[in-house]
Amino acid sequence: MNIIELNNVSKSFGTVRALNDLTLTVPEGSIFGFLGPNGAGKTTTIKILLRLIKEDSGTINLFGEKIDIENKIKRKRIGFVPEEFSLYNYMTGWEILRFNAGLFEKKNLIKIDELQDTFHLPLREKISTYSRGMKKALSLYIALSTGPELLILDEPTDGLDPVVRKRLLDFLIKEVAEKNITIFFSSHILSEVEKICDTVAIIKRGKVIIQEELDKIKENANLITVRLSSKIDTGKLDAIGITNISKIDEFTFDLKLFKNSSAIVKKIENAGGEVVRKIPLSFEDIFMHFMEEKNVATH
Amino acid sequence: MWPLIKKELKENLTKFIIMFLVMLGTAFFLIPYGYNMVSQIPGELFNNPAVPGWLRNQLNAMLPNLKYIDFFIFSQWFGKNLLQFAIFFSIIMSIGTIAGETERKSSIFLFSRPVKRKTILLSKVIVVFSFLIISIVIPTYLLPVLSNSIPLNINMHLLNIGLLYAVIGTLATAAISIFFSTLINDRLKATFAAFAVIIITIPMASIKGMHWINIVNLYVSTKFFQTGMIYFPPLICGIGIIIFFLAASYYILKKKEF
Repeated sequence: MNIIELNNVSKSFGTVRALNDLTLTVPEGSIFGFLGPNGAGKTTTIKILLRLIKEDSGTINLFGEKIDIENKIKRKRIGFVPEEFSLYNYMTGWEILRFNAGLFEKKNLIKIDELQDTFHLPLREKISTYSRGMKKALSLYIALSTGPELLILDEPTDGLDPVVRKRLLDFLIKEVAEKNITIFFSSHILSEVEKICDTVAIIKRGKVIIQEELDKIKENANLITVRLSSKIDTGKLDAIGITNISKIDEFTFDLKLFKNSSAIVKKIENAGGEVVRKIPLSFEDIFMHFMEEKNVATH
Repeated sequence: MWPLIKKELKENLTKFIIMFLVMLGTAFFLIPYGYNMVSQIPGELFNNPAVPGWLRNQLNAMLPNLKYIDFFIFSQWFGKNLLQFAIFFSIIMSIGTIAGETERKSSIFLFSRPVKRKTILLSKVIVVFSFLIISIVIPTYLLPVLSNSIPLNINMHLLNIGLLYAVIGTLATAAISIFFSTLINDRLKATFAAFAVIIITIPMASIKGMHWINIVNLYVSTKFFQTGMIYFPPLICGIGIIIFFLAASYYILKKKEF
């Protein structure tokens, strides 16, 4: 079952189109990486899922059902760590956790001991005394303390020091392995997404430009060196859909492939070429390729 | 709803204590000090020849009325002290309801919880209204207690009904402030807007048939004081304002994006 399904969702703020027919599906039990540069529409998508804002058009299913206006029931099954929000500074860590549990109609707090072993937050102190990283960790406590089935994280490691960042990512991996919860991990930090996510969607200007299992994306992204039996004829290569080549000599060229790698290699071989070298591309190269608009439509 | 109410109680407690103490202090000063001062003036209030004769006559004519305790409470408590503080405090207490959450960005936390927006608004309204009512009712009922020490007998019918007008007026002001708090994300701007509406409606009320547009007119009914009979238009108008502005606040909050 898909935990999240967004179909052709659009949202505009005045003349700015934040989401443009966005379509994505998040499978149950996955750690889903939602990647994109700042302003791509990641937070807007999350706010729509949480009903903090309303979409202009499109359909949204959560836990296999269409979401209603306020989505109260389904929000009980969601934990959310926002990119930035203020908690109530006059409350202590324990008070905000109990207050949150009350809003979820839960009597017991879950996971706190386990989280405390990892993050050691001074829960008896007022939130106003917490550092930014501690507040971020506290929002993870809040999100996990109600036993969510879906955990939505919006730039969760932003502002965290490397030690806390590593602890957080390790904790999330463990959480998915043990509880089979689904994590929607929105970030622009590629290394983190690559480390923990199994499925990835890349969003650009409000539109998902690729969504696939991370391994498959990486498998399809290669730098290949092709040697032809005759001199390179770019017109001929164009005709079979091979563009953006980097000539090495009159017979040899490099080609970066991002999609349908095996099909393109087959075309090359049919055209009398031979792949003499194949180097997997880094995830950063793949991401940058999708960010450069002119390349998106090719290979 | 209880966790939300507890949160609102905690959040508004300081403001409530300040308001309550100010109202209580004013009530304490009004009877033992204010009334005693007026009642002990023998004969004419003004004999100063520098004061124009017509004004001297008017002030002197007013003195016997002021010595009449019910008129004194009506004019000085309901018509002045309570009125001024209640307008000011009802705006201050209400203006942070939604604008405060938006301004400090806690709205993203609060409105992403599995709680209906109606419940959130209702819990805020319950707490603000309760605090305002307590801050008005207790000091007002302190007046007859204090007057016993003089001793004086206050007409409780006049006091009860006068209090009813004051409560409705205060809640109407609070409802208008909650509306602006929902509409405008900035607390300062929302405060200015609420004050502006109250100030603008005062001269507008002089237009024929628009008497009840003036919020201040809801607080005190001279007709009731003159006749002793409950005069319903300000009460109905006040309740109408409360219902309208709270409904409008809910409508805006439901559509509001965070």
